[in-house]
Amino acid sequence: MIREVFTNANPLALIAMFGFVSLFGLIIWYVVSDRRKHHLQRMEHLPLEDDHHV
Amino acid sequence: MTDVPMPVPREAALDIVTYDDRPVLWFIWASLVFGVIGMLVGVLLALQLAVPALNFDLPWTTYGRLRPLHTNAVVFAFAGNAIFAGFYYATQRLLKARMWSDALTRFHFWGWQAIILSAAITLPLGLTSSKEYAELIWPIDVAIAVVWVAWTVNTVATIMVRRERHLYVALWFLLATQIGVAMLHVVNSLAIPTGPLHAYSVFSGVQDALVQWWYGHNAVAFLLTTPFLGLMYYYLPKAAERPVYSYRLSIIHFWSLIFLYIWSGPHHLLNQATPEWAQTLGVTFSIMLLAPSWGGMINGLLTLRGAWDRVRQDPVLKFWVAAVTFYGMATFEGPLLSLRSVNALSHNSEWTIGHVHGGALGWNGLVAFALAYWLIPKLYKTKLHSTGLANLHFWTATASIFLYMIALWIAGIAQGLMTLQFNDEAHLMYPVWMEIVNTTIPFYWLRTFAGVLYLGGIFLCIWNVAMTIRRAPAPMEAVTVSVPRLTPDLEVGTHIDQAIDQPTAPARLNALHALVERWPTLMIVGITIALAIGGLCEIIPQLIQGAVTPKIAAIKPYTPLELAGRDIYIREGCVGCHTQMVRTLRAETERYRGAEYAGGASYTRAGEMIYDRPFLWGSKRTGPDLWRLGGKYNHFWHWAHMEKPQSQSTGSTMPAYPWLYRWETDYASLPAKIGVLAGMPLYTPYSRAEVEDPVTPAKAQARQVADELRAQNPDEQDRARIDPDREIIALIAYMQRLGTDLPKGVTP
Repeated sequence: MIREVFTNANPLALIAMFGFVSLFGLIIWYVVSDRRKHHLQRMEHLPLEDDHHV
Repeated sequence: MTDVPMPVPREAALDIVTYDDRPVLWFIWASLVFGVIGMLVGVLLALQLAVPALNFDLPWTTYGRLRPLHTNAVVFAFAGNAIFAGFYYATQRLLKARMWSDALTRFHFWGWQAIILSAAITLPLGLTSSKEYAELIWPIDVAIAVVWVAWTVNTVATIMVRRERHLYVALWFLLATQIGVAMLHVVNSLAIPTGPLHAYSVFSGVQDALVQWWYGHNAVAFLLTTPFLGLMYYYLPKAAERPVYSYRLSIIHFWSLIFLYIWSGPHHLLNQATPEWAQTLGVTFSIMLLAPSWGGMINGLLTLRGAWDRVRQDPVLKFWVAAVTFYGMATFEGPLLSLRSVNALSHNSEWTIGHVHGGALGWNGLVAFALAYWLIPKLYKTKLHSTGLANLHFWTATASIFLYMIALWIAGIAQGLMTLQFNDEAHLMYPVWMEIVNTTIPFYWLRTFAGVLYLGGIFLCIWNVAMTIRRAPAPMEAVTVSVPRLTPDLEVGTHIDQAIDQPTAPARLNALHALVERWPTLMIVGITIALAIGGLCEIIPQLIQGAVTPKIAAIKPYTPLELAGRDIYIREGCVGCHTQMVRTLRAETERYRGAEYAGGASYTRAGEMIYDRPFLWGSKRTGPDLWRLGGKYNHFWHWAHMEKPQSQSTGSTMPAYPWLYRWETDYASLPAKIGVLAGMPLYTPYSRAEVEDPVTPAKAQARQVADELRAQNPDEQDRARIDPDREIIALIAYMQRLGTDLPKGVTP
């Protein structure tokens, strides 16, 4: 895919690479956009024994 | 509005819940005891590879029969019992409910131990299906399905009566394990019985190989990966006293892992007689698997943020950190080994064995020990007897795994390079197989030492656990908690409206997923769909046999005597050391040309194996490939070789099989076997005469083989021992048939 993009400028490969990078970017954004405060609040509501957040 | 779910409103009424923790204790003990047995057999096997005399010339102690006992004991007994221990404790607390049925829990425990005991009896007796990690005979397969379903029903019923609306991520992995294993086990075990102890697979040749490795690879996925990840999500935060690093990462981790894993099986069949598209799918999905695997590892390790100082003091955390790290190493190595070029070198070599042990000892083993060290003091409300001993166990285990992996990396890469190497004249550099074996033997000694070290660690664990129990201030008491009852849930529409009303896209996604987490039916359906897509896409085309397997007119079914010989080959576990698959690599077509092969490439064709039930391609070459063995040597060579391998191959590490010269060929079972093969739905084209009386032609062929053997045998006294009705004759008939049909016919 990378070779196709940089040697032949194949538009399909370019779209595939863009999609691939976007997917990873989207996943990372989804994970890191979870604010720590919200995350900890949510964990406190999870049933990990004695209503304790762990 | 935030994306944080609001606490569920509760009524004032409280339920008193008493957890059933005794099975947790039983399963821990079962795991440790069977761990000792499984690894003791492993050490013996490692020694047998270097010193063949340790096979003791006894049928039930030979390498071929004991190897599946070792793998089954470690996977299903050691790791399996650890999984059950971990989940019986976690499930009840996560759901705030006692297991739905005490009777089912006990049925699960005793049923599973009975299955393990049956395996320990049948495998050394040579009762095997020969399918890797699925060797057990059909009645035990049925028992596994029943016991597994009992556990699943008990779990799902407990979910239905739970007092916590939300299903924590550990339970998603548990459900995926239960659904995944049930699906894989049932499909791969489909077989037609010929009697109470024997059956023929409904799949043959390339289809059987693809179904088996769809199962085999996903047994690793759904028995050795997903349940242990579920346990990681519960016990690692508990041990670290920190919440899991990222809830969102756990969502991505879970769905992508279970969806991608199921497609990866064909990477076990690269450069072989499998469809190109299936191989490419296997490679592609294996590489993609790296992302969720490492996502899970990162989520585990980052959970320790702010608690790393405690790793120094707490042996449980040490085990967890090392286990998760070994998981990361194994899941990096897996995609690497699935690349065609790397696989050409690594496949059938010790490298794969080293990879498997890195995962089993490093990931599954260390998690099992972490569970024992954490759960036993918890159950007895005391402290671990000796932190020092646990630390010693940790260091011996870690050192032994590294030694083991390094030994087999070197051995495997050396094997691969020597197998593939050509000299300047384009001939094989190492045409004599024993040269390769001799290079490997020093590493077998190193692996044996590593195995003994790891086994010693388990004894330390058992001692520590036993002393913790013995010195506990009081016997184990049932834990009772007061839990508020759940109030009726809101309307479905209200939930969905609330989720859609979230202000940002990630929050909306989160809230929508939270609905899946509170509705178990939706979760179960989602998991089933995620698993079924890959499975169906890979399995269904294989079932359309004509579409993928070219017919070769010259290929005929095995004669009744050859079939009897093949069943002896299966019984003795020859597939544990010998493959029957000449790969599409020049080094292999040169090495395994076959006696009658007139020219062209001798690689194994899919069409050559349409009557092979089960397929016997194998996955490890301690000895050479046998697919083109037929006609390479005369009968006498085999006669002398099977009784004393070193007489024909100097320095051979193969065990001797003296009982084949005493035991009589099992002609009595042939009518049932040929009847099943010729009947619906297998339709093997045997003649009516062969179906009605397979014994007469079998005996006639045995007499012919025996006559030829007498003519070849120069020793008069030895000639007198030749009896056509002994098993060795049937085995010779089978081995002389291997791979000989194709050269007589048309090369496709």
